Amino acid sequence: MSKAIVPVTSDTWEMIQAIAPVAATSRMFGVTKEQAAVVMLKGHELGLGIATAFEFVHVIDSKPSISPKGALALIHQSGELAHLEIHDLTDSQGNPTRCKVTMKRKNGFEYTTEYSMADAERAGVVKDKSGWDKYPANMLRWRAVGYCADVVFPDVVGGLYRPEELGAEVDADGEPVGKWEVVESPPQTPPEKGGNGKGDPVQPASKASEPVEAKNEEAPAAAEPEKKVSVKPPAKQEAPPLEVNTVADILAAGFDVGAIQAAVTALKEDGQDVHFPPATSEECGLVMAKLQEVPSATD
Amino acid sequence: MPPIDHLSYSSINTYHLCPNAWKKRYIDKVRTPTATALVFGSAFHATVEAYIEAKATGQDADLATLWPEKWAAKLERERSIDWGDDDPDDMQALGLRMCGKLDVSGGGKNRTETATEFLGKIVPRMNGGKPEIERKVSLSVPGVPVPVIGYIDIVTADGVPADFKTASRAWYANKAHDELQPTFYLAALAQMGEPVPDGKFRYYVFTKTKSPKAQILETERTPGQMLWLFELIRETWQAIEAGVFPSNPTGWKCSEKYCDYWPMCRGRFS
Repeated sequence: MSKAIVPVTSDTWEMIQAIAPVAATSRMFGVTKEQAAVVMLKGHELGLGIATAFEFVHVIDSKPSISPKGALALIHQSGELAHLEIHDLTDSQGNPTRCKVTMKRKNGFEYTTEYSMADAERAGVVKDKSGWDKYPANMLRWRAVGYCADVVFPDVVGGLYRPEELGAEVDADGEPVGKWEVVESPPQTPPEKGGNGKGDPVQPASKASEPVEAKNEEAPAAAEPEKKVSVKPPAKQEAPPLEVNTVADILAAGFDVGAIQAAVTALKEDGQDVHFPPATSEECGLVMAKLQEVPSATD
Repeated sequence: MPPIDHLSYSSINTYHLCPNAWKKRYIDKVRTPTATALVFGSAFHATVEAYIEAKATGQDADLATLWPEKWAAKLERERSIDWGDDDPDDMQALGLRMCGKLDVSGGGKNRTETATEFLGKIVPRMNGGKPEIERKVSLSVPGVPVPVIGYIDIVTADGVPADFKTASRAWYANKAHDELQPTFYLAALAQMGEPVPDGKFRYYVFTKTKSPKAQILETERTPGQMLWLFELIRETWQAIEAGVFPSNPTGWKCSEKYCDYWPMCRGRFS
């Protein structure tokens, strides 16, 4: 499903107005009540829960932004993600050097982004005791995820900037830290093929425009073994797969209603807790197994 | 899209009448004034159920007292009512008339009975000392990750589930057979381990005509129809999941008179 902006109804707005002062006075989120309202409003529009919005939406320099983790959550939620690959690359000593992320939409559009330590150093964000110093692999990963999301899913992330693009210092998960003091600007490499139109540095690495699988990629240097992390997009609901073991599957296999009833009766006689009509995909599976075990049930 | 933790017979019915109206109601949560017919039906429904429940538990009950109470309570509870051409006093008088004499059809010869006599014959099945009125049922459909819930108005002493309806005119003979609601209730009861003999379901229909009528209509559903309902619910869920919410301009509800969302939908262009 394409991600649609969720309209704000008067009820939602009333609720946001009621919660905003509580969110501000609780000091759990470090926001004023006006900022809390903006965070909830933007989060609601993007389809996030009112409380979840505080985890992913941040106000930096009076502008709402979304963390890379939040962007990825929205992408998963949208159902538009066909494929995601994350490759963490290290040097011969195992030190993280860069991260390559490939995202593919269900409509076939695919793009690969890389982000390297050299890009981070060029941007001046690598400092002693910062996230870049302590958790470089995580920092590289979320930066690369964010840039790739900008190109492949701008409609899903609602055109929001990421905190670091607005000058915030971020932690290993891409979340803003401290008082969100403005740090140096991110790298200003001109956008190349598939740029996001915002002038964002989507292609900091020279070979990144080739959307190829790492396994086919010619290794840039023998000293860069890669750890391949392949992520399968999760199902949108934690539920049985829609196309597996439904009553329709049983009927499509050539069994009729009477056969299903007979199989349920036989399963009950075997001591199984099965309903008619079957209540779950597991029950459908049991019915199907019974039907195949006792072909006469279909007569 | 906000998480959906359940579907109901009513919401599925709404989706089929107009997916766009479903979205406005269940996702966008657009609140609209309640139509008079719904307010009236709900109050009359409450009156009938309260009367039957009182009789079943050995308490005194009087329709002429119950109706004004339930009507007033309903009016107080509703935040906003779209009265249209209706007048609250006329509606209250109509309800009182429907608590009087009724032209009854079904369940024997056509006859005239008082509402008290008519309702006196509707006896609920008792379960743990309580009458089975407003019985909650839940249907699980393989492939649909949320339950489909509903409330059966009454399960009568003979084990047949039934629903009370108010209508502006008498139901035609086959309307009970065309309704989806019995299939849902019967499937849910069967799945809960309480299959209804012969798959019977009953409607008690009260018409809001000048001379009020009551109809008893019986219908039956087969196991095959219950499995077809599964397919319908699964398809509906898939459509909701996929964000398919087109308007249905050919449905009976797509009119200024019947659709609450007309002004923000088709009405914007007229």
